[in-house]
Amino acid sequence: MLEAINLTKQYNSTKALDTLNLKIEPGEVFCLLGANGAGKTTTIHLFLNFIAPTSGTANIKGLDVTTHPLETKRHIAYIPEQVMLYKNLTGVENLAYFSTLAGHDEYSREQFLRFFDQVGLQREAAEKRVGTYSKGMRQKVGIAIALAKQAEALLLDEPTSGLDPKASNEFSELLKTLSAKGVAVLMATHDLFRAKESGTRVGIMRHGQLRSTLKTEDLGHSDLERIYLDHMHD
Amino acid sequence: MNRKRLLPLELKNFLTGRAVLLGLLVIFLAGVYAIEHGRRIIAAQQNVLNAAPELQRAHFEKVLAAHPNTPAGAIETLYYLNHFTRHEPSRFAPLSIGLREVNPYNLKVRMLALEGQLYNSDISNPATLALGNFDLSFLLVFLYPLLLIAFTHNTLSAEQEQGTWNLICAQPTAPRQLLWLKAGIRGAALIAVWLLTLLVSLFWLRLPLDRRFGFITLISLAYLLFWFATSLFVMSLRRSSNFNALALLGVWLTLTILVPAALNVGMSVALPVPEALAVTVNQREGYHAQWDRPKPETMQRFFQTYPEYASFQVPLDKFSYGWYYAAQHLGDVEAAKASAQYRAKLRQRQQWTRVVAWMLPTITTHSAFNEIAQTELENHLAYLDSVRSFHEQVCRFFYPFLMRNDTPPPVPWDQLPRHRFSDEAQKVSFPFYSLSLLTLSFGLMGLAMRRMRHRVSS
Repeated sequence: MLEAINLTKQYNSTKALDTLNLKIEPGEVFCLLGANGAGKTTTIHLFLNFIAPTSGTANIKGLDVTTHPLETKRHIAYIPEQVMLYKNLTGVENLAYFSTLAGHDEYSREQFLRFFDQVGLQREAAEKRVGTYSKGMRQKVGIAIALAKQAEALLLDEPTSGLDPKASNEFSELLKTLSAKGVAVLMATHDLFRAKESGTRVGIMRHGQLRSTLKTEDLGHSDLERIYLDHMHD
Repeated sequence: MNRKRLLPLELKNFLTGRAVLLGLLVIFLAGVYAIEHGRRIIAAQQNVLNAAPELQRAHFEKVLAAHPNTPAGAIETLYYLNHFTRHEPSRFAPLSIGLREVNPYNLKVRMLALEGQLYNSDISNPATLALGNFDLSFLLVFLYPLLLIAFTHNTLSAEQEQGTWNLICAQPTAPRQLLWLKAGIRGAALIAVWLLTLLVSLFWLRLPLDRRFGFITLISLAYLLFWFATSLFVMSLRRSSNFNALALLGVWLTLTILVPAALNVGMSVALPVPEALAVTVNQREGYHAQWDRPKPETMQRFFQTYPEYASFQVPLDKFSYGWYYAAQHLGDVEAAKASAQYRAKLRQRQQWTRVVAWMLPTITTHSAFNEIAQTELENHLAYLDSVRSFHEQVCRFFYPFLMRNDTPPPVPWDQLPRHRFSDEAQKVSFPFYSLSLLTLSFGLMGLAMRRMRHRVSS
């Protein structure tokens, strides 16, 4: 579903991403771990074609994102670390807006509200202007936008940032549900616990390189933390 | 992209933005005020012009009553009689007052040398004149671009700065298509208010719905399109909102104030009009010199223009009105060359303004508005020409009573020539130099679209 082949991004002499090779199959939840500047967001932005690779390719469903930008975006949904929306529109209107952009103009108002039910945003809140929302509420709208898109792959950049523990847990459950439905997920996160909970595999990145890839089922929480710290200190 | 579904959302997003509705309301009210301001100024002038025939009649009665009702008495009144002239405005003058408030529109001429009388005007406060008029053309040329800049400068940059752009770019819709929609809504909102303002002017001023109204609509839309295209071009540079605002304000300042002011100074230096003083001096000296010349010599020069009175024998031993008005005529003859040069220089300045108008959208629009409203220099010069010809008619009417050796018959006062010059009667053609506006606007738009295609990728 998602595949990076020798994917490299270089800014002058700095390699933000160095020869990344990665394949994420449908139903897999791959969590990218790493300190700030490790290359997690760069990887996601390359898959989104926000930036052009210096070399290598990022493929979605076998299509190169640089040569098929619109086609590949039909298959993916993106949730950034901070979901920024139109403050003058309500949650429902924002969802309608981005769903229309995503090509889903068939939804009714009730269907939009059901997406909000799924992400745990109350219906009354969904009818209010987004300008009055907390960061967590905006994040939930972002997740609703991703759900409404019915994408086959999710690109998540610190999606639970700003969510309270309950909402984070609900989000993990949601990911599991989506994963069970065959959705491939690439998630950049600092949250080792959430990575272990939600992920099927984790990748540890440092200085733009994917240093290690591990299956979460083989690891305990403490193992993951130890391995992660080992990579950070070497 | 389903525009039908996005449009109401995008419209709501824009219109509920900070001060957007307020801005649109203010510019609309400013438009209504500008229409009323123009209407009042032209109505005040029209009232003066409407009162002219009655004032003329009362003036004649008063002057004639003060002199004996004899042929000699009638001739004596000629010195005191003012002949009223009227420069009637066109119906579109309230939209663009132009030079109507600067130049005289109701000259009163006597049978004396004309040149000195042509430049008489009421005293106006120069500070008020320097400020100009808050008419519709001013509003369009100066203020509409500012609001258009305020609305459109951050169409893309605000999305980037607020963080919504990434979410947009993650969707399978070409972002530039959405950008066109967003920018289009902003431009269309302002254009809608402008068209509404024009509609208000149509009904309020009872303007004829003729080709002039069509020209004004077309040129104003082309002007707004120019600013819209400029904003899109700056947007295509993909810089910050602050940069865009500063760049666009810089363009506005340059095009509306700096360059026109520099051109004005440049034109005054390049095309000075020392003839303006020469006309007055030559005319005065031309007339006064006759007092030092033998009267037959003066009359010989007069007869060169009017040979039909060559049989008139000027009395050498006493004052003669025939000689007096011949001397006045020679004052104009002496000033004729400088007067022609002065008019030619003014027309040259006007032509240069038109040349510049091909390149500067602000001057193009203002000039085109003045041309259509018939309130520009050319209209004033045409009025002065009509006054010249009226003065000649008056002179020719009275010369037969003055240039004769016997007692003149009674003057048929009711057959006196009357003056009327109406701009409305003059034909207005499309100001072709405003085509440059369309070319420039579409050119810039094309350039912006091209840049956008390359710089706002999918």
